[in-house]
Amino acid sequence: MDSLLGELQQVFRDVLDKKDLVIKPESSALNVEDWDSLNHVVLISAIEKKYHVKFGLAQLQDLKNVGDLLVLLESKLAAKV
Amino acid sequence: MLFNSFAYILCFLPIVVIGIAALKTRLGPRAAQAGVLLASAVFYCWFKPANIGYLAASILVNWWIAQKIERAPAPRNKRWLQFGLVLNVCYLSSFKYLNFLIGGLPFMRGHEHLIPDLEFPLGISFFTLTQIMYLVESHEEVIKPGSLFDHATFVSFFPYVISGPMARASRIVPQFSKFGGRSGEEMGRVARGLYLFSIGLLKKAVIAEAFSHVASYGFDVAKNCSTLEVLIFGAAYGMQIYFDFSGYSDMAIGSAEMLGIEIPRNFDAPFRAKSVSEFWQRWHISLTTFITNYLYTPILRSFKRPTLIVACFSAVAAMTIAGLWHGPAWTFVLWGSLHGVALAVNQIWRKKKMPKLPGWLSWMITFGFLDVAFVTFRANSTQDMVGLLGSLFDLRHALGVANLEVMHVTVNYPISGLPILFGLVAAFMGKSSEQAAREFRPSLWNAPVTAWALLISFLYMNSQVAAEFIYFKF
Repeated sequence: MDSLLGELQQVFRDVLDKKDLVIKPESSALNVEDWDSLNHVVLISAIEKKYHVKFGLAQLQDLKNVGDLLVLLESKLAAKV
Repeated sequence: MLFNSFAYILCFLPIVVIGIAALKTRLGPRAAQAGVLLASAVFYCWFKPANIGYLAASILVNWWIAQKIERAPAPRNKRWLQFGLVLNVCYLSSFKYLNFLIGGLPFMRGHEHLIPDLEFPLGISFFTLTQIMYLVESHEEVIKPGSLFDHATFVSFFPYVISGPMARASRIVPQFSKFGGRSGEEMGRVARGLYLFSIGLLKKAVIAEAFSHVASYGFDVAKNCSTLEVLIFGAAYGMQIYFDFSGYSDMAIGSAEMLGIEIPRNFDAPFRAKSVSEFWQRWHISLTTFITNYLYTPILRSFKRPTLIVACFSAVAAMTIAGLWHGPAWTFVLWGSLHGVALAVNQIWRKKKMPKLPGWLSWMITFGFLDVAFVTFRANSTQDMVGLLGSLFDLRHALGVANLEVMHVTVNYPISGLPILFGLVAAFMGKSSEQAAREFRPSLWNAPVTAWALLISFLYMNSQVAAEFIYFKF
């Protein structure tokens, strides 16, 4: 999970244009600057493209923080194997 | 049956709460669930028994489609989902928008009588969106479609079937297996539910009613309003709809809590918001969640590159649809579009790193915008709306008070004055009812507060016929 978090951190840095951004499982739109509704969609699209996965609307609705995103992404990657 | 009627408060709710607790203790959660399903059917039929057919048809068909979605292999299951979504939108539109959409076409002028005028089944706007969320959740395997018994209990659950808060199957259905919550917590739960219910009742029966007299006077009786008067009547309507709908939501959440079912919250002191986007995080939260996840996000994602311009377009499109969802009228369409534009401006302001305004100024601009938007929402017709907006921007009579001076003929100040004052304080200061309920502990202080809220509400209810909730007509 740590390596996946590290990879996601790079996606977040690129999308939010913050080179020093450090994300943790508890990071969310509430405590990460510029993580708004538009950037959320850009982030999701970037992650989908990078890992060749597709997130559903109801699945996205359940995401509260980076930790939830990690769990969802891991389950998608596991389903691909 | 209205939440704010003696029949509901003194007969239906106590019988259901005690009956469900007894069923759960003696026969288990499944029997309690059957009891709730029966109670929901009685509650829904109370308004118009014939309407139950529309609700039952929606439950049956959507459950059947969910079964198909579960069993069909990909990508055929997606076609079942698309079929289900189109069917639900058509079902809602045929009752709500047929006349508005087809009747407005130029070649239909004078032939409007040819379009069937279908009766609007109560709660269809809400339970149709609930079904859409259920189908999407089934397709994405967030939930298993479950039994028809579970689905019928979930959709028809009487606290939210008519006006929300809109709930997701994945959050509600699992609660049926432990109906009534954990043993030993029943009394505390019933006390908390009753506390929230009593606050909701006070909001609806006392405060919303008081504001409604001012708003009705302003929008129905007053003539040639000044800018100041339009703003005051718009604000009075904003307060009326807030206390009406948040009161309804509190009563819905409180009723469900007494049965041991947790349903989504719907309001969080919205008039304290310092931006329109914050307002929507606090106002009709379950609808905002739906708009964000099922309208805004899909529209935005349908573009190859989600840019700021595309995000602004998506916000306006999603909010215009949300406006139309409230009813087939241009007043609602304009209201939704205005909010969409305000959200877009909000987003541009943030993205372009424009200067941050002082808190009080942000609040004033936000409240001023909401006030004007409520004028468009409440106007009796498009013609009235144009007239009111004309008065609003006609600065020759900006500070006129001619209508306010004679308002005492229609509005009883001694009866309405104190609730209005109390409502203004509650809207802008102190804990929201949802927050108060979350922190609630049964105590010697909370018992008289609950009793007082019920008693005052009963006094007001006794002097008037139970008024329908505004959102029933949406």
